[in-house]
Amino acid sequence: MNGFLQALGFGTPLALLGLIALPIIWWLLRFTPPRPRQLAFPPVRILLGLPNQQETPDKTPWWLLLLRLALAALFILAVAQPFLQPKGGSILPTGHRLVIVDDGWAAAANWERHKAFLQDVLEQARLEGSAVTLTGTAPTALPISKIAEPARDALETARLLKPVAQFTDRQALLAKLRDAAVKDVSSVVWLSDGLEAAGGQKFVDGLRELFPAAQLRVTIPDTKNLPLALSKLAVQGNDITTTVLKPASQSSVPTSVVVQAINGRTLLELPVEFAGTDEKQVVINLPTTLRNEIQSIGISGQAHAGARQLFDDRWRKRTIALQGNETREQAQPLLSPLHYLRRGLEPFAELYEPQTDAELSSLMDSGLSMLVLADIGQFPDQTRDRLEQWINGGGILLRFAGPRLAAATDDLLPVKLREGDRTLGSALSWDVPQGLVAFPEASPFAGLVIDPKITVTRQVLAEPDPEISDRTWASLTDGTPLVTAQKRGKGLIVLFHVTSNANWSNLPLSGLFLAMLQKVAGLDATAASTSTAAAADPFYVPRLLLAGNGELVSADGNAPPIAAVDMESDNPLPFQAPGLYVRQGRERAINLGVDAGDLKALPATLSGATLQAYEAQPRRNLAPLVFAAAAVLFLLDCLATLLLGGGLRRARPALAALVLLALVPLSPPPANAQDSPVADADMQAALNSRLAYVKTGDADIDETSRTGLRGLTIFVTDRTSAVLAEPNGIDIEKDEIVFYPLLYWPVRDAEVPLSDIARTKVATYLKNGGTIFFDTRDGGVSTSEGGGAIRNLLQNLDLPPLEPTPDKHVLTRSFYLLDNFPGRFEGPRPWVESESDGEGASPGTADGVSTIIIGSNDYAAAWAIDDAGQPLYAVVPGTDRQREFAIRTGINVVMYALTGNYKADQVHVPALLERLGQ
Amino acid sequence: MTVAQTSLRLQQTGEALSSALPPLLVRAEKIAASVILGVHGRKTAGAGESFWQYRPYSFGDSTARVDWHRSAKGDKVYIRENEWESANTLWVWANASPRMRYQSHLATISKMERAQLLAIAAASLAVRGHERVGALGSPHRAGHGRMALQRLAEWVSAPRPENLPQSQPLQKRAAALLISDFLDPLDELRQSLTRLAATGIQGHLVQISDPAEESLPFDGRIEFKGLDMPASYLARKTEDLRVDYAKAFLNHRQAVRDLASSLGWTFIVHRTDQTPAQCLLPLHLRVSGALNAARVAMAGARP
Repeated sequence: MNGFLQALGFGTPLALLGLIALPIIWWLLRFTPPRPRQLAFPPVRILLGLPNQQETPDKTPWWLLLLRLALAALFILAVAQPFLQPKGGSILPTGHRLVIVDDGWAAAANWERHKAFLQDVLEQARLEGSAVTLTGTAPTALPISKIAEPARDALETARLLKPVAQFTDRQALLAKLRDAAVKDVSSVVWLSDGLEAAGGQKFVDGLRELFPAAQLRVTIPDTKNLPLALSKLAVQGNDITTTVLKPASQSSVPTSVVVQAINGRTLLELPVEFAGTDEKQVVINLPTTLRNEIQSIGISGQAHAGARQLFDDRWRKRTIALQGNETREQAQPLLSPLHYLRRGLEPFAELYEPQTDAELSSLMDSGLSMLVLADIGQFPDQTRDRLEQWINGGGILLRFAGPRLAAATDDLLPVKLREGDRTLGSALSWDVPQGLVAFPEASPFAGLVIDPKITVTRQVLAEPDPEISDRTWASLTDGTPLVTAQKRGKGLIVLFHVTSNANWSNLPLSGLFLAMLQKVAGLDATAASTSTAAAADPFYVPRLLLAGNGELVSADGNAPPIAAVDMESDNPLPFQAPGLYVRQGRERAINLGVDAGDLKALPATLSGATLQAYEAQPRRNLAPLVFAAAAVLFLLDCLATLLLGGGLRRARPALAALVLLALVPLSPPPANAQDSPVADADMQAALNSRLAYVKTGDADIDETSRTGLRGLTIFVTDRTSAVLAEPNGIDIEKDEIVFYPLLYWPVRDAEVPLSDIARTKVATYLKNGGTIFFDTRDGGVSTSEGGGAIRNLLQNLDLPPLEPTPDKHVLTRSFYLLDNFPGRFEGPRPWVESESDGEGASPGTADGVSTIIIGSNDYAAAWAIDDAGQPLYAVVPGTDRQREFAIRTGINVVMYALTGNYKADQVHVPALLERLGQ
Repeated sequence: MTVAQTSLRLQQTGEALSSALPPLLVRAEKIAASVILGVHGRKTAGAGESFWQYRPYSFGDSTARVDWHRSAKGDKVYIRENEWESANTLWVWANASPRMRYQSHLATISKMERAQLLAIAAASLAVRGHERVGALGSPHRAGHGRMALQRLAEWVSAPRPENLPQSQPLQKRAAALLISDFLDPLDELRQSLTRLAATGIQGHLVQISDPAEESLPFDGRIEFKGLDMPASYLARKTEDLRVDYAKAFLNHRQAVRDLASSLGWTFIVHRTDQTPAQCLLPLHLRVSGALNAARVAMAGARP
């Protein structure tokens, strides 16, 4: 009992104050008797004349009083939201309690349990009146600011606590605790994320050393709840490679890797199975357009930062179009102006070489990011306009000079060029070939190391212009610009004043050329600017940050920017928040790089601490139970009131209804109707038995089938006890056929084999006892010749051997006794499944009913009648007797389909009669 | 059910009930002068059916009145005279106020239904005795035969708010049958009955009581509400009231009985758990005067 009381807690204990009101309620109830029973009584005048009774207040019966008090008490209790903690944490000594939460990425996987447990611990402390110091192991979260604060405040803090996307650093916390001089700690509760990574035993030892007297309890999540993680992305060519890691102690459960687009949609989901290992490499290969949409790669079902890798610009492939004017390419590829460009750009971009303007135009339509023109001087007006439009919309035009450009240019250039070129260091020149000077600060090439061997022998020259220095990205030692660029609209035009092959300079042969190309190609035209101010911005600013639970949230300004230099280094600042950072329109992702070592689970025992699982702490909410009890008491009270007021007799029906109402929830819930929507036509088909015909697509045949089956339906309904609804026409490819007992299938002369879907459908239908009546409608010509059309139709369908209807077949007597089966023609008998011994059910037939009947006498035409009941088609050779027998045949077929082998017993009748009759 | 249907059914039940009894002749010691033919001999010659006397023909008599059969026996000419016979009137009134609708769990029928049944039965008896019947308070005149009975049944079976009979100019010596629970205040009752008695009418009171009204068979806390008055009475322990109440109820009944005898009227008590025939016989005796005659005879027989 004591244990129970200790385990009992209240969500809103303040409500318990309401219990104070109980005595008042008791007093009130005591003197408020139930309403008297009212009775009409004619001699009330005589009653009024009676001497007055003694005025004593009537009292409520004691049991009713008790009932109502209990009701009130229960209600108050229920409002206080009681709950039961099966295993109370009361073993912890009271006093200052240090609560350490692992709030790094790994804890996010179990955060709900973490948080519930944390709140329980703090709630416990609050009930005990213990002071609490709450701190976390993640480096940036939860500074130890409040030592030994009241548990209520700690609860507030805990309510707002969220995991961060960082590695925990437990040793750092130990140092902080030491510095903050936290003392007089009677108990330490460490809510661990279950991973050894930041030192498990070492941390416990450190805590022991700091707080020798304190009791230490460590909570670890269940092994199966430990997080999976995704290693850093490696991008090689078209393949994006990552590795799914799992803790070694965890049994392998199949999961999947999900690739998400920027707009949140799933691009790809790859199943992952750990085949006995703890890591599984996943290779993602997507077409460029899709690949450029990737925002992140994650593990499904893992809501934490460790299972999500962000994707940035570096790995997005750009589409670049190259255009030259050379035709000698094939002969001398090394001299081709495009050769070096192709080689230089291939690794990090999707290259296209449009041969015509139309191709170029369509490329621009589908999102070309850069166009490289090697020595193309002019465009036709139309193409030029389209180009300009594309540049203004954000395209990058990279041009190389050459003889043609030098001869004639258009205005799609960053600077105005002098006509002709300048030759340096030739035999007739005073000048020597020029090298490069260091790139200006504002240039995107800034920082690239200049190879002194690079010399330029020819170049095109820009007209002197005051703005020219702003537009220069690279210049020669004599100050003439080598690379100029200009922003146009949202786009950019870059001009190399030399050719893209080694004719004019040896720049294309150097590694610098490659680096410069990549710089240009890596530029986002929207933000790249030649202005010095923007270029000077050295910081990457956070745009989207990865929250602890693995979601991307917009940066709130608290996250510090990262210097460009740090970003370029392989491992940016260690505790930088993962997320997407932006500088000058270039996006860089910082990812949490979890490796296999980080996923090592804590050992099952830690010396000096007691271990406990999160999962063993389910809190049972008692409020619904107590509410239910209060409701029952309330019902009892109503009953008692009725009883006392005498209303019971009058209220008997109402009471019965009440009791019924109370019982309703006890009865099993009604079976849910099938959830999947059923087509209206199917519903109708299923509600009544009806015949159906297969639509052939030939309107005449379909109409004959319809009228024929309608006629047959009328005949069957008139002459037998079977009641059939209007026949349906069905499309064998689309409609559901399981509802129909008999399918009439007119076969056309030219039939194609059934589609796979239809074949499966028909096979299932036949297997489940359906009957199909094929009609070749030719009076037996085709069946005698081997049945071309129907053979064609039923190709690949698994059918039993057939035979012409034998004399004693059930079909001959299922309703009428028939010798032959005429339709519109007096052809041969229909073919049915061959029976093994002439009367019993042969294997493969459903209940002895032949699953298919193949007739040839154009039956539907014989049955067809118009609205007035007159036959629509003449029978051949044509007697009323023949039509009558055609109808009888139809009825027999329908009865055969409906009743099965029921009439087969008839063959035994003589024997039975003989036995009975003695 | 319409009023007509109700009244018809009531009439049939009443007639069936009364068929066991002989026709009712309303007691009339001194029947007021009435030209209406009835069965009460006026001990004088007049219009009637039974022979009264032969008297010699005198001048002025119509020759048509000469009884030639008698005259042929002698020399004188005689005229045959019949006795003057006249009919008495039975006025019937049944309380049809809401109060009368009461029916406790002990009774099988409400007071009102029983009162109406008795009224119709008595009227039916009177009709069969060739008396005239009329409903007190109705605009119709008293009349003979089934038509009168039907009219009376229609009037009686309709609910009415008033608790006491209205007085109206009545034929002297007529009889009035007043059926009610007489639970009204005594003063009002006395006033009403005295005014009625002043017309010279012979009244017969039938008090219809529900058994529950006599015995108060309830327990516990009950708020009693009047059916025709807004007053209510809260009994905390009804079982304790029972004795006092029974005494008060009987006192009231005795007071009504005393009032009736002071007016020279008769008074019968009828409970709704009894059969109507149990009431109809004494009622018949009283209205026909047989009881008085029997009493007189018994008194005379006594030494």
